[in-house]
Amino acid sequence: MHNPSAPAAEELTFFAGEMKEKAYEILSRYPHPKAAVMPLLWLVQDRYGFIPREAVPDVALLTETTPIHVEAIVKFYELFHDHPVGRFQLMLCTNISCLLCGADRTLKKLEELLGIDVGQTTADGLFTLEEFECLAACDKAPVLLVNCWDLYEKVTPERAEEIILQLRRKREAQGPKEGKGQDE
Amino acid sequence: MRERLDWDRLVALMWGRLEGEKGFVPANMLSGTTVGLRPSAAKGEGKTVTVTIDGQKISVPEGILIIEAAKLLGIDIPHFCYHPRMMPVGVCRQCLVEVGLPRRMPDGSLARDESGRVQIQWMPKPQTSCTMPVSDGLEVRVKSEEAESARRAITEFLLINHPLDCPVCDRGGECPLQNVAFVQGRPYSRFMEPKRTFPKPVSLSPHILLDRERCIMCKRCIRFCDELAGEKQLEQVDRGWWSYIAVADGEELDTIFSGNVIDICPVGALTSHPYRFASRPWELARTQTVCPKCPIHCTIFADCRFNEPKRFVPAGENFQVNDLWMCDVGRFQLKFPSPADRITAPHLRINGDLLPISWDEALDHLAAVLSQSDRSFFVGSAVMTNEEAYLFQRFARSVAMSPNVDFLERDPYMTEIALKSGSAHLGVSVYDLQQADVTLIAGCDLYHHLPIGWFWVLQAVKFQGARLAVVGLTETKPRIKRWAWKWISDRDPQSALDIIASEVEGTGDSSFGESDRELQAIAQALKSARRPLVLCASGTDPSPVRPETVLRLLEALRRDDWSAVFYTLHHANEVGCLIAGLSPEMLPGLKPCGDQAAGSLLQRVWGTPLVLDKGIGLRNARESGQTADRSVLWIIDPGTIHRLPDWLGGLPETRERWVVSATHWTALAKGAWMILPDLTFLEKNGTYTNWSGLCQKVRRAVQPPEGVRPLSWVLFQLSERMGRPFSYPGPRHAREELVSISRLTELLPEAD
Amino acid sequence: MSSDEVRIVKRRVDLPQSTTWRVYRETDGYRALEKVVKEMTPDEVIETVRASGLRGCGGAGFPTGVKWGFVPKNIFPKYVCVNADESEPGTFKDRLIIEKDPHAIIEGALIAAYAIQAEKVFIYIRGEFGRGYDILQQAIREAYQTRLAGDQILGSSFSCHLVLHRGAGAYICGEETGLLESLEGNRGEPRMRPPFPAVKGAFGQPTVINNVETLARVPPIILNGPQWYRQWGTERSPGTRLYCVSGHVERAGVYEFPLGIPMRDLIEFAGGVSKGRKLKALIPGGSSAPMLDAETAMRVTTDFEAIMSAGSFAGSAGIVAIAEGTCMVKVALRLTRFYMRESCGKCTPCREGTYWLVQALDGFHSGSATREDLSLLESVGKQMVGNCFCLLGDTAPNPLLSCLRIGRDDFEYHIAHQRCPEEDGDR
Repeated sequence: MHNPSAPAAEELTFFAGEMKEKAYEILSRYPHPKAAVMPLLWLVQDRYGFIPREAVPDVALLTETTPIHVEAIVKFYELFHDHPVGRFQLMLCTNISCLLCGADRTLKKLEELLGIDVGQTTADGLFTLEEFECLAACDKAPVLLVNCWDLYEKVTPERAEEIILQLRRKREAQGPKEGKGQDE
Repeated sequence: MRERLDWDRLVALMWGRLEGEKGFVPANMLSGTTVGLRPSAAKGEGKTVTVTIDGQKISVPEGILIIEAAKLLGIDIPHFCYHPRMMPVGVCRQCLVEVGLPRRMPDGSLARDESGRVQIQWMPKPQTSCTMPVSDGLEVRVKSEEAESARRAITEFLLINHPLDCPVCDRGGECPLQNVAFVQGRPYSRFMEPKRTFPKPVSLSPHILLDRERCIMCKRCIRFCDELAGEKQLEQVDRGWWSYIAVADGEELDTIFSGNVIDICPVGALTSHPYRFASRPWELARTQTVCPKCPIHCTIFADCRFNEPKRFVPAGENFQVNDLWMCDVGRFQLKFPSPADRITAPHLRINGDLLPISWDEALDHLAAVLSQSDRSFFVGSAVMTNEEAYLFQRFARSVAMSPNVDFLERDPYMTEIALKSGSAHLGVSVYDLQQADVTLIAGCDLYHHLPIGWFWVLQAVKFQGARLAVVGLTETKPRIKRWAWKWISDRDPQSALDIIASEVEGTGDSSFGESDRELQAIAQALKSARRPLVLCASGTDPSPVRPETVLRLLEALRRDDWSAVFYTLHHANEVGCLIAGLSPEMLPGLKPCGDQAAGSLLQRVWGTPLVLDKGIGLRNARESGQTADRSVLWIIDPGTIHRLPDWLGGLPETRERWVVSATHWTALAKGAWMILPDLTFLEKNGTYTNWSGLCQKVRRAVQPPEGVRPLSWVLFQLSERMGRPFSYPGPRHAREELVSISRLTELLPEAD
Repeated sequence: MSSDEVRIVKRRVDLPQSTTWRVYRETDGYRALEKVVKEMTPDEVIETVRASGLRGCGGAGFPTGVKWGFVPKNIFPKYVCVNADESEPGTFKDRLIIEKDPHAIIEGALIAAYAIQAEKVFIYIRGEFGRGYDILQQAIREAYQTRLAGDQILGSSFSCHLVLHRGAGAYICGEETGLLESLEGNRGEPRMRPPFPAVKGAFGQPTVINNVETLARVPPIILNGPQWYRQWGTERSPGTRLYCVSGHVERAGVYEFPLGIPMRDLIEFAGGVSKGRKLKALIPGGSSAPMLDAETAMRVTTDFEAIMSAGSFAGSAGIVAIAEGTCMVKVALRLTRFYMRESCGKCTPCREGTYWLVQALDGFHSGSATREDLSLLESVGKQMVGNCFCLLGDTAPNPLLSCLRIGRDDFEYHIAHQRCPEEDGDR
């Protein structure tokens, strides 16, 4: 296949300054620019908490793909969000081992505590509750993963209540403006 | 037990060859129910292997797919994602078969049982026949119980979420999924749960609608855009059972080849907006003809219902022009005047009003005025067939005795090339453009003016590693630039080509600037190319390249079996009109006016004296005011096919002695002195000659309205009234005469 | 059989600061890499691994040395991909290695890269492993700082770069060709084979893809030799394996035992079935593997061959114990729903079949199912097996078919009472 020519940097509208530098560094890691689609999307999401629509044409330009290709990637992978999500993304595993250890009761408790259903975000934009597939920590079932970083083990309904309290306190301590950039 | 309908029999029943198709496979068939060999495999290069399919042995070229080998044996394997022009993907799983390979001993020899038969090792699970290439000794079971039950399972899965709306689906009746469901679907559904639903239909572009519920995710449309048309504009979004096909947010499926996704969709998911609810397939009368929208001349089917065209689709494997594809210009912008607008009787302006008159009155009147002057202008149009053009100029030169013959869209640069080189077309077939290894596009918008030409150039770039250089174009959508090896937008094509021509000829001067160095590189690439292709802006383009330059390059880049330096033409039968002699400077066969030998030949064949002189073209005449006298100006209106040239603009409201042959009430017709009703391209029989000199048949698909007469009839009648009668029994006779006169049989091969 | 663990991969996990280069180095770390680049030819490395009989720990159990041997010698560039996209339900061994012993992965990957002469190692880590990502990133940084990765490793002529690539939540990317597609920047849809990745893998180049645990086993094998590794396990399944025991057991965890240890011993080591209940069913190798009934489970040994002959497969060694009193309808629904959500949508039977199965199982759950639905479930499930593009679809009906086999009573109970047996308190 023909390797199309690279786009001119001045065509970029979303990536600028430090982010542009970083984007070019990421591109240099791979033999083909298309491979940088996911790392670039992570770069955007780590900064903004989700992937704004405006970022899509730029990612397409940088990676020599098309906007629909990038959009399809965003939608294919569950961890990419095309709309803003809560400050704390609660991912409760409900797959086999966690199910056997009572994840469903924890889930029900979390829904009660937060007043939302699975997939929703609380009105204060603090919590998004998601039911997730196996998080590879079955020995500590049921497990709750927060923002792809903090893994809470053996989350019984009682423990769930503590965790929510703890997270609320953490948020108060950090202030509302802080990004969710632990993954950086 | 109930007899199961045999797949092959059903295909034969539903898709038996249609009359008049002459070996062409309908495009709809190629979309789903038939298998064509991939061009690479069809060439039969290299070695062959022997495979056994359902007990039948066959020797086939190595590397073709099992599904294709089976087709050669007459065994149709149902399939959806397989398409002979695209990479196999094996996603629909409909073509599952059992496959076995000969067992080999550790030393590589074939293992045999006691009776000496080769032992076959059957694969543990069924394989997709559209992804597996054949190899020697391969055995395949298509009709075994296991293979059939696997395929029945797939059909059931495909149908669980497919809506049962065949009665209102545009595809119903020519739908591959419907056929498969008939043959191997269950009579009752076992799926009782709610089906997946989507809002429908979704508009992908002004022409194309998407019904996501009907989609079976064969990905043909995605692959067509990605692999063949250029960029990935469609993609499967989200995943699993709730995934769907989409274009990017805020974008449209705007490639000029978008309509092809409708043809290749094996279900009714992608449908045409204009054709929506317009007809059922079995009500359509199908006629094979050519598309008049550009000089490429794609072979198409004009599908008509109740004498009205409903859609145009590619006619199938045409390996000289368009293969299975056509562009949206031909598909969606090929308009046909509505019956209410048609002009069905001759009209004459009497006291300022155009009033209908009888044919006899019109012809008598016209014959009388034509006889008064030998300076009448006869201005045809590029929508005329070769035969019409030939007869029109014969009438002018030998009956009206006027040398002023022309056609509206004639490009003086093109005429000059034809005069000087004796050739008026590209030296290779349109389809062969995909073999070009270095392509230079100089100032012409190939994508919009000759879309299929661009399509093949792009295939060369994508699959053959050809290099593409573009000079004098600015980047627009689609991103031509992303395919370009060299992209020079700040040079005008003329000066750039002058430098390139000098460089190719080896007479270049060595003092190069920065952008000259780029041009030098292009020239070197062209020079060393095996099959160089240069396409130049013609006189109709904003910044044309002069004929001398084109001829220099043509000479310098000629190869033994390849000669592809030419203008990008814009209008249907420009080439054919020139060859037929419809120009003030050339006689039929591209002989210059005044050529005595050609003149005496014509005189002998026609049996009448004729005017050999050079005439005045309409454009020159208009510019120098020579049309103002009392002579007749007879114009053939191109009607809906293309716009009138800009230089004709600013016409006075009514025009004295202007005779217009028109199909319907166009601007030109409304201002005419006399109107003669004309046939549309769908009502004519004849031939067109395309950009690369290929002559193809134009066939009558629609019966003309009562009162409308072919131009040939009008000319024969007039010639009789003017005392120099001539006539031909049919278009074929006129064409044969043209061919023999021009001795250009290689330019005008007998149409199929 | 011994009831003590044999710690080869697990040897560092309990050490303080086990993720640091210093601790790794102090415990024989990077000695194997040093030996390889200084004393061995690539072919010797491949031969050593082949002789050890090491089998892939990701699920397929393909001999690692043989896999490396498939890579053509004269095509460059070549790549190594580390499959750190652990997501098979019931499996959690790779997370342990990533979070506790990241340098072992790097060393193993570099040895693999040396063996096939690859210029780059791509470590594809699961998106949910945010912490693991940082730990690996830090380890890679240390490896570069100490000249163990990058140009001219340890002063030799061998150069190899490490790229950490983060996934974003798709089970199918654990399938090796799905991983390659994802790495190349596409939807993680599996690719057609052949060509196999060893011939045409990442970016169209020869590529070796190995699981994290597999690679972590390479350095000790290189250091101690193949015969040392063969002292454990069986003839065809030599060495040890990380068994992930979870579900209804007292002490769930990752345990390293020689291959071939009886399943009964393993369950006992994990404290036995929890709360003294009886075993009802057992998943022997991640949720895709057909379940074993209690009797077979207690009889079988854990090597690849024994589990295969018991009608299942050893897969990723994710062993999930399901105790008596668990409703198998619930288990089947949950696992089938997992496959439905994770089906990429590429091929028909997987895309439509998983949807259908979940819809039908929902009928049992909500109490609308009839007796005919039982045979329908079985028939639809069997229609998927063997007809799909990749193993995800081919194995997706396994949990359902197993549950139908082992827990048919639960299905019948749902039909008869429109209720879940668990709710009726017989647990």
